[in-house]
Amino acid sequence: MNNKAFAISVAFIVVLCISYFAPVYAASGPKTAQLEIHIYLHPDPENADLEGGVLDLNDWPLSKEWIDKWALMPEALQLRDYVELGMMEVDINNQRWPTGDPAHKFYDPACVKCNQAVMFRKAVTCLLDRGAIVTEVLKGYAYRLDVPMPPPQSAYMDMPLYKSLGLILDYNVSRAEEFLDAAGFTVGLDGWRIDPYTGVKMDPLKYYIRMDDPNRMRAGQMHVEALQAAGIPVNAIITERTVCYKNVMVLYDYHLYTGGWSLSTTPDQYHDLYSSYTYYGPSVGWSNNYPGFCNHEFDDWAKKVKYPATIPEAQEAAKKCGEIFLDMCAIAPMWSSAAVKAYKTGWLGVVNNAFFGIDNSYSFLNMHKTGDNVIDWGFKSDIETLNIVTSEWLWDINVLGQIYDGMIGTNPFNAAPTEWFLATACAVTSWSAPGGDPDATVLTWTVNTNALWHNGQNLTRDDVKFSIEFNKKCGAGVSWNYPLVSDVYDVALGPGAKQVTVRMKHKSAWAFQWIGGLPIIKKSIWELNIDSEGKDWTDPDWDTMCVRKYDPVKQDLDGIGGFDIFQDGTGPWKFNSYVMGNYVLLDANTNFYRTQDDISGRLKTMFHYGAGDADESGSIGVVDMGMLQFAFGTSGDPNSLPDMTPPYTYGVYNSACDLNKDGTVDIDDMGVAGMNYGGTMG
Amino acid sequence: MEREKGEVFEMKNKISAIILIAALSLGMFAVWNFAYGAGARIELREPHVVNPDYGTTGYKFDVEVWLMDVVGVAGWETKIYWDPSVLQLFKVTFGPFFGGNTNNYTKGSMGGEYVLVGQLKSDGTTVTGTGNVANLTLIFKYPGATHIWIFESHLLNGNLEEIPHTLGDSTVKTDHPAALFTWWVTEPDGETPASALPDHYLKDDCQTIQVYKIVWFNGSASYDVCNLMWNGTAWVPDQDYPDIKEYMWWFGDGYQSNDLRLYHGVLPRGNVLGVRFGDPDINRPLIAFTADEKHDETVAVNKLYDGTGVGPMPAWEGVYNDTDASGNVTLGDYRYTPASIDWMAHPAYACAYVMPPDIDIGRKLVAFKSNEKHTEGIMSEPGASEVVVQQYINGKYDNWEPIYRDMQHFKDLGWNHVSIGSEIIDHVFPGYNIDGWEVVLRVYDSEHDYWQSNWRYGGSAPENTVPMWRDVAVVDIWPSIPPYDDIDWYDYWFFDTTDYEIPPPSDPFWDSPLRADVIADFGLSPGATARDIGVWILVSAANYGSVHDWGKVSLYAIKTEYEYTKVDYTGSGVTFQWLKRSTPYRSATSVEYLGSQTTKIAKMAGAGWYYIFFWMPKTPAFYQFFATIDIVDAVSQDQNLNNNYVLLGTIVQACDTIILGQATANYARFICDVNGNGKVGDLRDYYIIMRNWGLTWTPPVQP
Repeated sequence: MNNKAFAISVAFIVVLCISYFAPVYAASGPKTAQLEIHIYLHPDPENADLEGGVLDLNDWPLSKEWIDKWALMPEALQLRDYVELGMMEVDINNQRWPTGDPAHKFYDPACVKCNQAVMFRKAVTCLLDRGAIVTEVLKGYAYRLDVPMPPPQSAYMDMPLYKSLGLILDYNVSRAEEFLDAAGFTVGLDGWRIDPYTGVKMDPLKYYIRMDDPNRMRAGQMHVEALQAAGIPVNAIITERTVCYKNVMVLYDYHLYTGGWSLSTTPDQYHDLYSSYTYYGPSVGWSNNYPGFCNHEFDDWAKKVKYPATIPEAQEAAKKCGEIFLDMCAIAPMWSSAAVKAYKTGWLGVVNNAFFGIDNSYSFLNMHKTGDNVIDWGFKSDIETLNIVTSEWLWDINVLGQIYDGMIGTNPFNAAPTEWFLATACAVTSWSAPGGDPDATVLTWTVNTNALWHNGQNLTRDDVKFSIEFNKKCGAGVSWNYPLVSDVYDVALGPGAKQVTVRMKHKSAWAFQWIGGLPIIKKSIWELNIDSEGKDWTDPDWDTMCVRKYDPVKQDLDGIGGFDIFQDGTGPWKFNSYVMGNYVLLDANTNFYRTQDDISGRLKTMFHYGAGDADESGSIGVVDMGMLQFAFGTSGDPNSLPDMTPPYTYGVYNSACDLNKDGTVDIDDMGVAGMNYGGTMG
Repeated sequence: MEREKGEVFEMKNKISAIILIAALSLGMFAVWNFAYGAGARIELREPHVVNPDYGTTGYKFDVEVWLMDVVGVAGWETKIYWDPSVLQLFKVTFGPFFGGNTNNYTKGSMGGEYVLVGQLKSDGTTVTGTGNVANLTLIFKYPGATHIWIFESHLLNGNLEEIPHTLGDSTVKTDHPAALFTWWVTEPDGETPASALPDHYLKDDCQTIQVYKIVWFNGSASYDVCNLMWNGTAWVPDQDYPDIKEYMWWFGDGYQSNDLRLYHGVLPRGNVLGVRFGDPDINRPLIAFTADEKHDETVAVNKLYDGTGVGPMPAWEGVYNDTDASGNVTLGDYRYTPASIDWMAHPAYACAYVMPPDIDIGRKLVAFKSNEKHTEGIMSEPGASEVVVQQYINGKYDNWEPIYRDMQHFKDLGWNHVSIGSEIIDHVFPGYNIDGWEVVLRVYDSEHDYWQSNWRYGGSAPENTVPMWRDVAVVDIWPSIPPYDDIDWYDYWFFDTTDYEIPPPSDPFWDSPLRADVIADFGLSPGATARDIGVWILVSAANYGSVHDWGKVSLYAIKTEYEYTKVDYTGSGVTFQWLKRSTPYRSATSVEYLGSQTTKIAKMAGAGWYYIFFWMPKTPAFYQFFATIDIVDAVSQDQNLNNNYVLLGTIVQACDTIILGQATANYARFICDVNGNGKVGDLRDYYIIMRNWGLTWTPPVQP
């Protein structure tokens, strides 16, 4: 054996030994061992702890004072901005006098009192100084909203039209007084407005103002001052969000409320939040549409927003919804944050979601820091319940979103539903729904049965089928995600061994995202929700309220030991513990079905094609713009190998620049990169 | 201010290869310089010193971005940073160097600390030479000095390859002083003097909270930006730094401060002090020194009177009558103050004609500045007994008369009294103000330039919420009945805003079994009934203050003496009015103690604490709850009285503050001991009451 051959043999043996003694697997799940959520009740102490080094990142848009301060501290904190896919609004009770006519659930143009209520709502809106709120309260870190469509969904509104129709209500005291006078609310001798139906001073408006959000609290206070100055008596109740919740959303015992919504990437809020289909009052407590805005014409258009054949159809319908929404003054949207959140300098791999900021699932999967095994995340508010079916609060979902997965996910940089999680494929076809749409949507999902539940068992397609059917059975008022499954006609196993077929009642461009986004729950646990009469979910008379009472953190329905939440979920984080008002602790799921390399690679690709990082440098700058410019106007195979190394040549197609992969580098691609110019992945 | 950009040089096209070969033939070390000119460079021009007039916050100036000695450049990009507390970006305009057919890019940061700016030729051409590519118009937010520097730059050739280059930064400063101050609030467990009587009251939902605090302000961080010099890498102070000659304070409540006490009179004190509230000399006339009244220079040679200076005697500057007008301390001059001699050891050297062996003999005498003045006849110290030594009202300086720097006179010749002032000063605000109190510090430098900064103490706007006080309150008291049967939580939840009935003690409801989850949650025995819990009363407390606080929260129930009737005046079935019946329901009121909890409430946590009390009343009655917080100096009461109610026997009802008057004398503390120190009617209670005397509030609206 000569030396060379010996060396090769030794190397081979060493490789074998390494392979034998230390088999190399790709690491799975989060790059950091634990995620600890610290609970506060106000953003300021949370931010103080982030500044003090207790926290690694925060959960709530920063006020200008913190931004100004932390801009001077790059050695300690990194600021990242995003355009919030959410809104803050003054919710108006359309079912209670004088902001509505309780005798008419639906708006009736022939009803005098209904029209008086519309004018009263318009007066209330004219006294809401949104400009001052944006500039003085939010210090410019917000976009004024007139319709419930935040800037990322601007394609779904038509502001020039609304303005030309005179539907936009600016802060205008004189106009408010005109509305009030026209509605019969004249000014009495004592300066207060008189109720046209009692002839005496009108009863004060019951105005719930959230005390946990300083911005909404200040905005509400400003609004109250303006209302009272106009002679409208107000009983302002500045209180906890749970008190607001009970009185506003459950009891409907309010006139005005400083509400807020975190929205989804599917712009169907006109249907889910403001159509009569989601108002269950007054007999049933709790409605998505707790303002009780019920208008037949609006409903028709909202339905088209919910069930469009194409996205342009949804856009047109949403624009019409906006017109009616403004004409009826359903509620008074206030703002959407031009938001900034912060994380501690030194963490690598943070992902800045373009619509929700840095605290998102991809960040928690990908962020890491040498010598730090715990991501410390601040919560502005406590969680209410960790029940993935019934939880409705943002903070509940923030926790549960780490534990449970859906079948698909979105690209964090453009919200496109391009990412496979518990599904590996989905075929979209159609069928003729009985008594419904002849071209209704059919979704055939291929389930990722390699995914493991947190107890180590494999995900099955039965779990997927069950999740859809169970949420539908729970219905509105129990299943928070009911709007995602409300249009499901039936669910069947097959046709393939790993497949589930979902037939919808209607054709909808959103159906893929609805079903794909539904959190998948473990059938063997959740099917054990038995009501007080011993009925289970398959029984037509099953009492769904037993699901609302079910607490997976404290109950062991399957009786195999350990509370159910330890067994449930397929997500990257496993539940460890929760102490009310104190903390939530999650452990990294090292059996997660996606590897760290997979996640890192996908993030790079998603940022590339979702935001325009053509050279995959992690930021979008002049080099990316140059690459797109060089390839502008060319066509080619979008699946060809991307060229990300200079030199580049003018007029040569480069798939790295074909961001939307339509085979042409054109203005759409330039627009994506241009819009994100200066942006970074995290 | 040069930094090398360390990109690897790569050239792959034909032209570049030819250039490379030529370059190699001349020497490896000169490769890229030769290829792209003699040192391509991105440079910021020029270093600036600007002098905006006072009041022109928003003064604009330009920083130019230049490409220097570049060859074949198709694109460039830089990220330009500055100190965002000093500057903010107004706009970016692009220069002429790239000419037409160019795409321009800018993106500012949310924090306002940088802008990303760049250009790309859009027609495949390149530029060569030196030229201006962009101008940043920046605004001064506040006087200061900042480095303006470049990060993350790109210089691209016609194939988008990086061209090595160097970077040139810039600097900028104003010549105005910067008024900077910090503040803090004394705490009971800290440095608060026992005699302090700060005052701050907060109206919260019709209730008044009383809190007493001293707020301290420290302006010693102020400096004259003019006295910062650029040493090539950083701004550093020069020998005259910080060069602040005057601190003027406004507190937004009508009080203002400025004067400094240079010499304390009879009592030796260590340092120059600002005049403070409570100083008996305030508003006494100040007298200018006569021409022959002078001082020597022993603390600092600065032509200023430095009073007692810092440290032990004899580090004082003496005051003399330069009788012989020699300009020096000579035999025959008269010494007013002990000067630099330990006069206590050598009393003969104090207050007498100069004589040997006085070591000051021969020292130069300096005339007093026009704003260095003295009082007449009275010499006093805050907190000390008044001491009178040789007091004369004679228009001349007499021994032991305190000497002041009349700071107001510095700018306002008409002012001639002792007034309040210091670089460090305390203040007590007269009460809570919905908009807060605007505190302003204006500082003057030796060039008489001035600037001021402000900050708002308190107030409800988000930017004013820097809490600096102890502010703990009971927020709400929510009575309810225990969870029972299958009723969902919101059906039995706390009756905070709506009328509900609570069954009387004899009602069978109280003997109904509790749900299993309730029994488990509260550790009760199997089969426990609602009576085992009783009325479920949730008390929540909030700490809006700046410090963690702890103390005892106690809950009481007042059994009222009248029965109430709910009357539907309007017949609407909606609008009810509660009326007190004319006949007494019971002969006397009584207060029952329901329990206490000692707790720590985290600072700034909003409703940061709650506790559920359980109470089973023995008799049906109309009850109202109230709570006290046993935290010294914190809060007397802050309950939303809309929520303090429960009626056993008939109906739950909201009530108003009139009910408070029904508490018995045993609990007068609740009503009268407003500062919660356990005594009724002490000075502080009286003070609080007087503060609020005549104030009105809007009673809660009846349901």
